[in-house]
Amino acid sequence: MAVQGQGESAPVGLRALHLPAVPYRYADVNLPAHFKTPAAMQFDNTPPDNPITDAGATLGRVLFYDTRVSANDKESCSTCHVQKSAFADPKQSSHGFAGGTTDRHAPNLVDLRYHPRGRFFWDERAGNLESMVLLPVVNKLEMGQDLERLPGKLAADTRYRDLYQKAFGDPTITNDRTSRALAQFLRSLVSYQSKYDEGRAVEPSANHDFANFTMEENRGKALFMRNCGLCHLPDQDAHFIMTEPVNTGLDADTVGTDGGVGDITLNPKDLGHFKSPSLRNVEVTGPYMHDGRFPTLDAVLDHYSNGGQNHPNKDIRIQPLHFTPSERAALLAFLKTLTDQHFLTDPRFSDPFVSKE
Amino acid sequence: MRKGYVALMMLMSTAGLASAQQPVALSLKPEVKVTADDVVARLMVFDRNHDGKVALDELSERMQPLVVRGDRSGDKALDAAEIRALIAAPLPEVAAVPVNVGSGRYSFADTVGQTSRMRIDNSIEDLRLAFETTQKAKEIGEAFVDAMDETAEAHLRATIIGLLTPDQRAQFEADRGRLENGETIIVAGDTSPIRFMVTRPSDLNLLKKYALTPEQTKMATAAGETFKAEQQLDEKRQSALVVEMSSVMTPEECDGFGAALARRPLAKSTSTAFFEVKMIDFNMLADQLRAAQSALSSAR
Repeated sequence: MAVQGQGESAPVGLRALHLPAVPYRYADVNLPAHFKTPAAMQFDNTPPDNPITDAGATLGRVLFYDTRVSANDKESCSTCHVQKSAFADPKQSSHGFAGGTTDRHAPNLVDLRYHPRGRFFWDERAGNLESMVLLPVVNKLEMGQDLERLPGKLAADTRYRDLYQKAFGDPTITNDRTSRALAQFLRSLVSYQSKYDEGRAVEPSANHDFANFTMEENRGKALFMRNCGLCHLPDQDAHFIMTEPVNTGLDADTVGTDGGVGDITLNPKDLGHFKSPSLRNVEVTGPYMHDGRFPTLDAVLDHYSNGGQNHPNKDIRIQPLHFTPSERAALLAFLKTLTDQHFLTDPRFSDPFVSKE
Repeated sequence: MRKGYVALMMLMSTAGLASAQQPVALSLKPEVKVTADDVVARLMVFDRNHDGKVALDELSERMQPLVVRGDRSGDKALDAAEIRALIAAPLPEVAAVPVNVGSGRYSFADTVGQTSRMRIDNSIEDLRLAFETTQKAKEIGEAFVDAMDETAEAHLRATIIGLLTPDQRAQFEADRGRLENGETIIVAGDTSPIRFMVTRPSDLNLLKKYALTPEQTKMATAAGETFKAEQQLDEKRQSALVVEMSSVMTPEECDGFGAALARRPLAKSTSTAFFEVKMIDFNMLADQLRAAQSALSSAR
């Protein structure tokens, strides 16, 4: 078996798998205090029957980076979800296994654990992370895999039998276990070591000026808290996550543009509503919005500064903010404090099929 | 300390005018609503062969479950009637959303407790000016709001006095005078004194003690609305304040201050208790506290 030990050789024809002799720690990571407040902990969507374990998330990591999960062995989850981009796709549209392109942008995967509704995709069509993870795998445009074939395909690599054994107590490979392991890995992708977190750790709340911030960053933080935080940092100061999908006035057209949640529920009130990803690492997750229409954060600020278009379902919170040039600069400076270089390079989240030596 | 005190009084004042001060639904919501017809039209966009139905293979993969749910005729497509049936029976919300996460309603902050004074202070603080400039700007802001409040109160009082009968007017002035500037009542406890700060209720709240006629009530309510409007930083007052600030701020800082002031901040109310605070009869409370104070003194 070649699953243990850095750079152990793989069976003939297989890519080498580089896993540490002692598994990385994914479970019970020591999160900072602002993640442990009662308000922040309410955001956790981890189900009681699938807690993160070191072995489970390790298996999920291997599956996430394994191209054999796709129909033609050429695409993995990581093809579109790139670690250095906080697991977003730096391209506006993603390319599928057969060369097709998606009509939506692949969002970042930061802090999926802390989406309190526990619903996923831009249109929230997946009711939990466990059911979400296999939908791109079977999608005919994205990875095109046949779930009838997947367990057997994985079992052909004896290394997987050992990984499933460690994760679930026996080597049986099922799609249910695969989805559970992938969900565990995704829930482990928590970003908590940004400049913001360092500043927050020594202040009683995010409303105080941070000693490690420049004056411009503190000004940007105050502007953010006043004008953006109501939606993007709700009721606590750890998770930059919106608690519900909204229509931000991206389009005025109710018929010819992507209906988002409304295309799934057919509820007229949901038309044009989209889920928002975490703002952590937002500096590197562009292009932005469900269709990647805004190439830069500047363009995003333009949108909110102008107040968006008058879609009938536009959220009441979206009002023209008319930021001045110095306010925009301050907001951008603050948003960059949410970049977590440790998260973007953490070997626990990196491609185990690539040697780090 | 002072801010907290003011805020407490604001809360109670707001609650006292419950009927007039319910959180106001934001008024900028477009009047046009998305209808079921729009949703049908939206789905029919995918009818590429224009046969009046949306077939399974005409829909993107993420929308195909709609056909599974809504196809009653068995033709693996949705016609307008089938789409309407789906709209009438929306998907149940299956997500288990923890209580309080994301719940609450949004209002303009100035309708649920944020004063013009706070709004000005916040706008100044957001500029991150030098300490001395900040202090001077806040002094200008304070004076501006004081003048605004004085004018509003004078107008309100004049209106109220005008609508009361002579007897009611005498009672009103007496009640008003009792706690004109607030009162601090100290009740000696066993180990340390307990300090109660009591301020008089707003003039409008005082009126609730009297048996006003419907006509008087209507006029008082209108006066209350005018009073609130006169305490708001409308565009004209914002411009006037920016001009005053130009004595301590650079033109660029004035632009920033004006931009911040123009944003009408939003607030989220998460506690229903905020809106359920009962009106307190401050005079009665003061009487009771004084009685308690007296009783304790006698006992000793």
